[in-house]
Amino acid sequence: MARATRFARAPANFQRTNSIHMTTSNRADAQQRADEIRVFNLEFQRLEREGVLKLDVTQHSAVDAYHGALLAQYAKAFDIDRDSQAKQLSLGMRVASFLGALALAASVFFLFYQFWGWFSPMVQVGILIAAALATFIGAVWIQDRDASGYFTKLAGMVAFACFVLNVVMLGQIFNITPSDKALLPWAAFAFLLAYAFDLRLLLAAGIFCLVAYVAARVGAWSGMYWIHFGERPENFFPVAIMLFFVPQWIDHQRFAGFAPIYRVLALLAFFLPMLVLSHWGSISYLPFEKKIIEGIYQTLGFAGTAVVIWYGARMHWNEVVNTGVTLFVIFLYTKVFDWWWDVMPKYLFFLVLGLSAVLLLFVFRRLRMAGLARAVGVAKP
Amino acid sequence: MKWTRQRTLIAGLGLIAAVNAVVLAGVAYNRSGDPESTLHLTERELQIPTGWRGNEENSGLALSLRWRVLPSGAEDKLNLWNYYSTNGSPAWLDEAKMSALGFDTAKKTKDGTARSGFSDQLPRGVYLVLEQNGATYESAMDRARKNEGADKEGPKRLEEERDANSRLFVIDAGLDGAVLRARYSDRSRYAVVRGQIRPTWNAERGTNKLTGFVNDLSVASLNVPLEMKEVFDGAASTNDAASKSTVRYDSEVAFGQRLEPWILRASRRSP
Repeated sequence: MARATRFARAPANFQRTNSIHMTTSNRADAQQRADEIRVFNLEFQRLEREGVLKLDVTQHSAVDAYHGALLAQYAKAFDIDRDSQAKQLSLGMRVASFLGALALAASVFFLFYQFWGWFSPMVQVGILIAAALATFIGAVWIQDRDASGYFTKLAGMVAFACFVLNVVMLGQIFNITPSDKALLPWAAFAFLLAYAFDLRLLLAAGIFCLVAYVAARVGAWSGMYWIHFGERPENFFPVAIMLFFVPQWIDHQRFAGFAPIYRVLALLAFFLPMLVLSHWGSISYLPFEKKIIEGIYQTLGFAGTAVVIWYGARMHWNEVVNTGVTLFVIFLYTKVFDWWWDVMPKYLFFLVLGLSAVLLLFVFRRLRMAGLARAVGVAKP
Repeated sequence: MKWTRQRTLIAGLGLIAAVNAVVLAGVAYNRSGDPESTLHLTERELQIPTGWRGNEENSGLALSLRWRVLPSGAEDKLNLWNYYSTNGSPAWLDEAKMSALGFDTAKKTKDGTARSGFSDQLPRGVYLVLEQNGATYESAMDRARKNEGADKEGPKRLEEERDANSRLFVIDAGLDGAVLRARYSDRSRYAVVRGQIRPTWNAERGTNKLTGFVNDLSVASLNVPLEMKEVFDGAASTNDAASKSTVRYDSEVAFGQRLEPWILRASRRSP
């Protein structure tokens, strides 16, 4: 109704001379533009009240109508939140959709296990394939009708669960030797669903499968049985480095939030194994004494996270800076714990911990100030 | 190029179809022609999982392949139940064998001790030879007879070895399945399967002896198809305590072209 009223107030020549161009291609961009319009309107009202800026009726109506039409189109195409109340409800829907997706995926697994023993192998195979195909087709059908994406996320997760179940159960029914190769089609299917339906949850699932597959292959090349790939943390390094640069090589402009997921998961896949190695040097490939290996990875951990923070700040990647800071603090605190927990009284240990946090705050404040100064410098003609 | 809904459908359906086709073609190949080996196994070697009938969440049934290794006789001095247990370090898996399987037996350690550097290596996939009711089982029987009087548990050990313990032993390992098959040509007594071995060491007579540990078989449980479920379902419903030394069913297990097993036939024994 409000949308219709705003259209009605548009000047007669507006629709002839100003066509609405939707320059955004995804929901996140549309939502960002809608938020900017809301902030603009609030500031504009303030400026009008304080007499700083006054538009005449025609100009005011033109802006109002333009924004109204734009928001209406976004709402129709992407089901965006047009106000803060809708935004709060959206957050609830996102949480419900995430939990529902996990619960439905688990339900599919248990449903099959409950009844599969009552069918012949051929019927079991038929049910598994039909479930994978039907849930995938269902997800495509739902995506076409669900601008919000919440129901698509549910359907996509169920389709992925059915495909995983399909492969796992074929292995059980026919006593097939377990293989890391199963991770590859799972990753491919998760990526397909993620990119086709714009689903970050499935992108993460695909990345996990890919990380596990590449790490297992790297481990297998060194001679180990693939399932033990997690016992040599260095197996994760090649795939982590590769994943970090995927958004640089492949343009992800159309997929909001995908590039940060690649970068954050890549950083975790790189630094968490390094954290493990910095404490258990005996599980390294390196042919050195245990303590030397631990020392190498401690140094690399501190230096690496510092470089990540610097690089993230330089590239304006908030998620990289935040992940780098978190990992740096984890490296620091585990080391502090190693050094001083046994030798210091507890009050002193926590005092040192608190003081190190204060020191970090000073360092980051300096970095922030330097960043601001640079930004002001760039803004000056 | 714009990615359309139609392309998504084609890619997704194609992926599901292709993966299923590859898996099922592999199954068909494994079960094609004469099996690579066929073993006659009973309840002693193919066991219903404990508590299966109490699991209301899973209507399927998979039997556990119960296999053993025969440790060296010297270990009887440490533990008389040793030769009774499943998995472990068999006598034949010595330093030379471990070296032949690709483990670095000369590996010096990062912190000085030879045994730790060797056992830091991770498990490797190998071919294993399973022997059913053969010379190794006879050796286990001989040892049970020899140790019958060693302590008061001796007669019980002998009885269990004679009537209840698995007669399926891992007796050799190698990196080439064909070589192993040539060495063990009786396909009704020996099956070549895939499994994993990890390095370890034994403190025997004060020396650190490098050896290996048979971790597991790659396929250690066998799915029971619907048409055979009645055989095992009936057996599982009988009194477990009374059946400890009573074999309730027989089966033929085939190992196919990819060395993956399946149950060919199963039948109940009359009480």
